[in-house]
Amino acid sequence: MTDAYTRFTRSAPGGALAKQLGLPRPSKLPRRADRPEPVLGPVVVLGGSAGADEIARLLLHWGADVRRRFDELRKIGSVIVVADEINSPSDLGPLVLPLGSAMRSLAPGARVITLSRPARGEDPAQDAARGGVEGFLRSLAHEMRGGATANGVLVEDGVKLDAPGVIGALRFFLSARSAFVTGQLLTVSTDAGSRTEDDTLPLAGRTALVTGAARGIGAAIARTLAADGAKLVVLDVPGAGTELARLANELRAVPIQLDVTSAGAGERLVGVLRERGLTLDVIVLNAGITRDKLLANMTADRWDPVLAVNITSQITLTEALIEAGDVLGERPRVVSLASTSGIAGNRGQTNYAASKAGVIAFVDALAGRLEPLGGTANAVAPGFIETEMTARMPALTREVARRVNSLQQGGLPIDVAETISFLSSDEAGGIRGETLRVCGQNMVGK
Amino acid sequence: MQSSSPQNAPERMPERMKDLTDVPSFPAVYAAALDPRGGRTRGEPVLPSTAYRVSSVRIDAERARDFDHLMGGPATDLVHPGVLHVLAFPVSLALMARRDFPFPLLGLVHLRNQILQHRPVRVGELVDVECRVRDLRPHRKGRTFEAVSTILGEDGEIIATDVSTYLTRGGAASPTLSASPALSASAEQSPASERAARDTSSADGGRAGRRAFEAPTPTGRWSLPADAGRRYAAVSGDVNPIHMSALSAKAFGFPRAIAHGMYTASRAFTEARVDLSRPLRWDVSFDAPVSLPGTVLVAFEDDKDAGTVTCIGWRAGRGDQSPRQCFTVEVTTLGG
Amino acid sequence: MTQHDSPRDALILGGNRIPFARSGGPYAGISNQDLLTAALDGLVARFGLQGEKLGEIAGGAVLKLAGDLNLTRESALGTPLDPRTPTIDMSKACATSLETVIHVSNRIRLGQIDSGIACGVDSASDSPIEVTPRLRRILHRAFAAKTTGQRLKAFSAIRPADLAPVPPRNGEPRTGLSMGEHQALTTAEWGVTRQEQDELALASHQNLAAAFDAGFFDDLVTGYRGLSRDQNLRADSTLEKLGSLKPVFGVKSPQVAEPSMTAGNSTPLSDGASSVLMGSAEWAAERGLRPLARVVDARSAAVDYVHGDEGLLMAPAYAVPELLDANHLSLQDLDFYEIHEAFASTVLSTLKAWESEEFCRERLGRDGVLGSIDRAKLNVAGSSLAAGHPFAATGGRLVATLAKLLHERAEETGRVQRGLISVCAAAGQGTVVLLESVSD
Repeated sequence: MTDAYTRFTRSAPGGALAKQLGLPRPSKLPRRADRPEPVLGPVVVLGGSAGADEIARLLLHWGADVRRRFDELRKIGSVIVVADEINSPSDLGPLVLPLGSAMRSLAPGARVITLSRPARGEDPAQDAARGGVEGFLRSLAHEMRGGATANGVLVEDGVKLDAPGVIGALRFFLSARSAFVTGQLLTVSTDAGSRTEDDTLPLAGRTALVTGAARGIGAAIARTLAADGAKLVVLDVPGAGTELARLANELRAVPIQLDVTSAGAGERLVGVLRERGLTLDVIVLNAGITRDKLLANMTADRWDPVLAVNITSQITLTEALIEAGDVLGERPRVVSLASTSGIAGNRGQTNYAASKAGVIAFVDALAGRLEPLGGTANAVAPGFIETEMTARMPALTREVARRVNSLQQGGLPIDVAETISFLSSDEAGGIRGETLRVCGQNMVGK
Repeated sequence: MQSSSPQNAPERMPERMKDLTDVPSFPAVYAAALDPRGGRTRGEPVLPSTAYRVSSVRIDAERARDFDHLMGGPATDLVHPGVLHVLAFPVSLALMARRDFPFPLLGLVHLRNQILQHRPVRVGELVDVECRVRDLRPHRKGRTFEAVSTILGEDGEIIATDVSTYLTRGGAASPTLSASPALSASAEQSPASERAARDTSSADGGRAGRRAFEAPTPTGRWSLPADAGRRYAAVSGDVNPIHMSALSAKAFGFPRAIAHGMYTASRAFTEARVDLSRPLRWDVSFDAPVSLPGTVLVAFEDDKDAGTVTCIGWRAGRGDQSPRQCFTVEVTTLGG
Repeated sequence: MTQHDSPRDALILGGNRIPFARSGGPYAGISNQDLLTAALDGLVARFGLQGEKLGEIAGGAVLKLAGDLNLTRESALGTPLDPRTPTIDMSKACATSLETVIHVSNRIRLGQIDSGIACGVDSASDSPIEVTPRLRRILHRAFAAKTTGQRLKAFSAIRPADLAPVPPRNGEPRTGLSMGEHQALTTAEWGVTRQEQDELALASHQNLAAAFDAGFFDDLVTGYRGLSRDQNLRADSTLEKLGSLKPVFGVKSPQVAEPSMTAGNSTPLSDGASSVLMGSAEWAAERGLRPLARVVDARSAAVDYVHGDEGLLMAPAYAVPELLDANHLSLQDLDFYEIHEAFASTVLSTLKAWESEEFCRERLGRDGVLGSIDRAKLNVAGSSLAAGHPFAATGGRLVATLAKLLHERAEETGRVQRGLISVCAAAGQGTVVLLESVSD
């Protein structure tokens, strides 16, 4: 599923033309099917801390080709910059400058990951150094070529570098599952979570609900979670019943036709789950709609449904599921769908952005609510994803939207799904209240 | 069966039976009927005492099947009595087309038809057909007579008798070939004759004026397509041009083609759902003609005690036009 | 099996249908097989039947193309069910899928099968168009020809008139009257008023709309081709709107003094499909499926409408008392009545017949009247006037709807609930079924 422009620039004459005109030449992003290995080697671990040694050992244990210097390496698959012990901005240079000489040797689809600690508002020099890593990483991501990405893991003080959440985030960023995630920093705030037993089926034994599952990103999420071993409950409005039934038949999932905005939707969902004897371990709140209009032309019939579907339904559904007391499994994981529009705003999307920004704040609060249950709540914020919905955008708008990111192309539904699968896994137990962008480092927002 | 008329019986000449080698073909008979014959106008008309007989005619299974299907019934091994009628009809028509027959075949009006069937007839059976004309009597509008066909089994037993009552217009006056000849063997073509027919079928025939017809609640509706006449002709052989098409009907003075009377009668018989394995009587009287294409409303009434099913057919009234009765069909299953 | 002498229970486990569409609407160009496959797909998904080998699938269509010889089989092969699941095609006009339910029920009760699906489908948008009998004979001759010459000779007999298609017959073959005209006569005979009919139609729309709003159909209907509710449903219908419609049936009959049957109180031609999952108690328990109701008994009847002895659609008026007597029930012992609304006046004529001393004495041979029913228990989730009526799909709709109603009410009240389904069918036939709730 590549757009026409990308196909054109990948052809020999198209590529030459694009180069001459200085047009963006998007690279093919390797995804899990293209690159199943968890780590693209050789992997260079930079940094002299004990943490760096720990990470290097870990990678060796995974069977990776681990180096501590670039030396004469012609091709570099992955680079991990361990900056957990920097104390002043001057510590940054010696740590990251060696990477500069290696930039041209990065393989297509290479990975650069920083491991650092977030500023905590105590030590000015240390915070400046810690904050500096974020700026470095975001800029580096813009300089990556050939489908390579750069992301950072922020490990709260007190959380060890080998905590499940850190390892999980590292593995996610190193893998091809994070193909469309770049320029992002993900915070691991607790030691919670556990290593998955079976890497090929990280969600084995878990039951996952996906709302808005019949089409597009929702269907991709359901398929990915099912491929990762989860038993699926797929939910969508009755109008999408045929697609939902087809998906359910494909995944041997339980279909539930329900308008999540209808009165008593939560109770009805609980009723069906009880009737079927199901407890949910993973809840993916994906159902969403757009009704774009400039605020000057905005009416209640465009505003209300967007808020009702995109955020209010998430609140009522999760509330009903928690209140029921018997339909959630241990360590429940809620992953909600936000949007880059919710972060940066978007012209004509005051309603949508309000709902999606609401989601971002909602998951943070919900994470607290789920903590006593051993659960987490997080969100993913997709940027431009190639779906039926975006296919209906005006051609020029769509073309611009595709290119304004570091990877110079739109993402695929699978990219969102992979991120959700990761946040649903046991490994991600230490990640709570986060919103992870899946946007190819869209040029908007913070 | 009605006995022959006391009025005419004594005058009758001894019967001369003429054996035909085969059932005559309709076109030949109709062609003969168009041949003007002058010898009939002198004196009081007398029916010929000649009888026609065709021996060992096979009841054709395919024809019986097509007949059944056209009437909307299942093809059965027991023959629809309408098949017996169409088997005998050309024979009696040939008799009426003879030079010594006193009336023009063209212009005869079929008023009534009564069939008494004593036993069921199976397809493939061999039967003899005998035809006679009899019972000439005066009528308000002219004279009526009966064409009687007898169907006999191989051992000479009478299987069925088919009595068709015809009206020849003109009273005691000498009948002449009309300027616009209506070759009608099944229905009428003018209000006058319709009245005559109605009067005949009513108990006190002879009073002039139209009796208002009150349509009962219909139990069915027949939509008769333009080709209904041609389709009946295909199974009956009766290619009388007034039934075949509007064009051919016009040539004989009809604005539109009209349905064969025995078609509507046979269809009513089929829909009466009687037990063909039992002796039965099938009485039909015709009133207004049914134009083609056309729609006829029908009302069936079952009198279970009497074993009689009555079917009245009429065309619906429209606007100021009141409904017009077209036919009455009565089928009675007889004991035994 | 069981220690009782009576056969084991045949249980209704659930159902699935697609929304019913108006003929020529969103399902135009969609075949019977497509529609039935969609309904079965949804059923398989809802109950996790992927790869299941069921005892039998009984299905049918009324307007069936000659090529759809094995319609049910072909449809089933398009689903994720085990392809070794046998099927049977059945047909009984509008009662088709009620009869398939009875068929599967009987098989289960006799122990011949443990599970099955009863289903039905019809598309008035894709109804068969025949060729003339003459053309058919010519084509048969041509197909049978051994040489090209013979074939050409056969084809040369084709006349332009032969090529005119024969439109679907609009009326009872034996009377030539359409169903609506027949019912118009019955309506007049029973003195059913326009007001009564419009009120029944309005109730049907209101009840169906309320049931959809309450999510009642969320696990009975699977959206299809953009429809999530029955297309014919007019939630905003009013008596005024219904009252403004012109009568369409009985307008030409002098016997019908005041024609009262309109497009609003008669069902429209529709497209749709329905299915019902059934099984033995053991089979259901093994799969964790919760039974909704059991099939208690069924009857069918026919009336002699041909010569006007009885109204074309009055057969259920005869079948129901027989069913009730056999089960020692009075008409008032039932908690729900699902009486198929072929026309509003069909329902009302039937109810009036049961209230008529004369009818009950002379026609049914009973001492007293069957009596009135509590109208609040009639078609409580709407019926054919609002939902539409794809002939062979209506029985399945009624069975699944009633089974769910019975189960829900039984759960609420803790008492066994009984419901009646009555469907009139073309050619003077009728089929009725008695269901009883099964609670946990």
